[in-house]
Amino acid sequence: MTAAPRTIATPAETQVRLGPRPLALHLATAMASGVTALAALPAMRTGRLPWADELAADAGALASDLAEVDLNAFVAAVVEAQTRRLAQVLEGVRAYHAHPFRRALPAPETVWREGTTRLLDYGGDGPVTALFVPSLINRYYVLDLLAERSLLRWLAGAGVRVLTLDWDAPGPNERGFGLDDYIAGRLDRAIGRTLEIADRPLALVGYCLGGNLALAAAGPRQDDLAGLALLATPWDFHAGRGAQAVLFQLVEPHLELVLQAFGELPVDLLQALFAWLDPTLAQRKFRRFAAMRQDSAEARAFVALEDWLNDGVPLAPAVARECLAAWYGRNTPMAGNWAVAGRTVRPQDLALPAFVAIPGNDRIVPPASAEALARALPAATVIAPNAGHIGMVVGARGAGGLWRPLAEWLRGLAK
Amino acid sequence: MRASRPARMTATAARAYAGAMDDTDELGRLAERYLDLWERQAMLMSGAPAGPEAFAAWIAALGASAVGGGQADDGGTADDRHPG
Repeated sequence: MTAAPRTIATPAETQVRLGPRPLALHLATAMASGVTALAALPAMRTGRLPWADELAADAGALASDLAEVDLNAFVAAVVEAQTRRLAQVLEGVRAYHAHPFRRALPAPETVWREGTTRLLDYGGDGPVTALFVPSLINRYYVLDLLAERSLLRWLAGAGVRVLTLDWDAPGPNERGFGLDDYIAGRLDRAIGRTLEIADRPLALVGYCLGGNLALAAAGPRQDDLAGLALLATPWDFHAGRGAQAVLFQLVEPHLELVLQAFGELPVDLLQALFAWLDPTLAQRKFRRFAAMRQDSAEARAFVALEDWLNDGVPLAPAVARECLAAWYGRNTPMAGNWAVAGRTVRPQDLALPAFVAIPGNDRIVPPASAEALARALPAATVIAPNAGHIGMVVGARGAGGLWRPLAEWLRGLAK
Repeated sequence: MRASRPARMTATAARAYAGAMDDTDELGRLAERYLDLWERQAMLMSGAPAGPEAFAAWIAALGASAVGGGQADDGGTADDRHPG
């Protein structure tokens, strides 16, 4: 890798922090959560609230403990507890906004560029090249978050030549792009450029929805590739997500209006849609952050990750339609109805060695969704790290859970 | 937050005060348990492993509770949820 004096500049370095985005939504959700909890109290006390199966026993025990408690006194206690929780959330948000950490890592060399897409070379000296394909929704640098939590830099030091795509936000040209343009165009040409740069076996490594892009690109490129690794990549978009599938179908016409009005899917709207996955997550994590020592490594890692989460990019309209309405709403990949450049994407037809990582605690891509892909691939090595969707690539346990098995699999492709 | 005990207090008053504070602490613990459950419910229902029917039933229960039918311990009826 070229040792450049430059460092990576991310928006978080220079701009005021606005997260957790959309902040107003998360604060309103916190307040609405309080109101609904109070509204549901009478029904809960009498056992008429339909709790999730996992909570039914705890809820029954609580209802029993509340049987002799004065309702008004309990309402007052709930209001007091809610107020304390909201104050903790706000304390966490204020602490995040004021935190001195700013990401600053040596910038990798840009070895190819087309429009807003860049191919970044992280160097490394080994018998095989890994070309990382990140999602179009979030920026690539979750794979290079901190010096001590960088999958890309770690692999480059572990006997693998490493490059990654950086899709960046869509520019004027990319706003007219669909997935065909990104996959059969940009990604395919980036594969060609990578083969020129590093004359050795090449594996694509897709992360999250980037795995879907890599899978589709790999089909017609099998003669040029040595393997395909898919990290937390969904395939059955309705597995474990029945309600959200319904919601995405219901909002499809509304989504279309937004796309026509804005000419893109704005970041904050995208973030709001993903907040549906776990509406109180932001509250829980900022309460936790408020309790951390702000000069600790844990707090620094929290801020780095939160900066990345809040540094998302808008989606081009056609990409938003394909990813949200077709994938999440209609489950076109699993149904065999997703085609790129006229070719149906069929993992069943992939003859390449494949590596599938399915984090066991993934709440963004349910394991059942990724398992459907592992089953469809004819020759997949499957690992199930004890980690979450993002923690698998950046977490303190990343090295043991994903990084080493991935490095060993990649190096093995050269044999 | 728990108030500090007044400096001058008879033994009987102190026992009553301690009992009241214990009650307050117990109510606070129950409230925290309830809110923890509520957050986990929001997470699980959004993840919806039980499917859209369970999600819809939960939303319906919230609505019923919020407009009055679920407020009364006698169970209420469809009619008394929408007076007038």
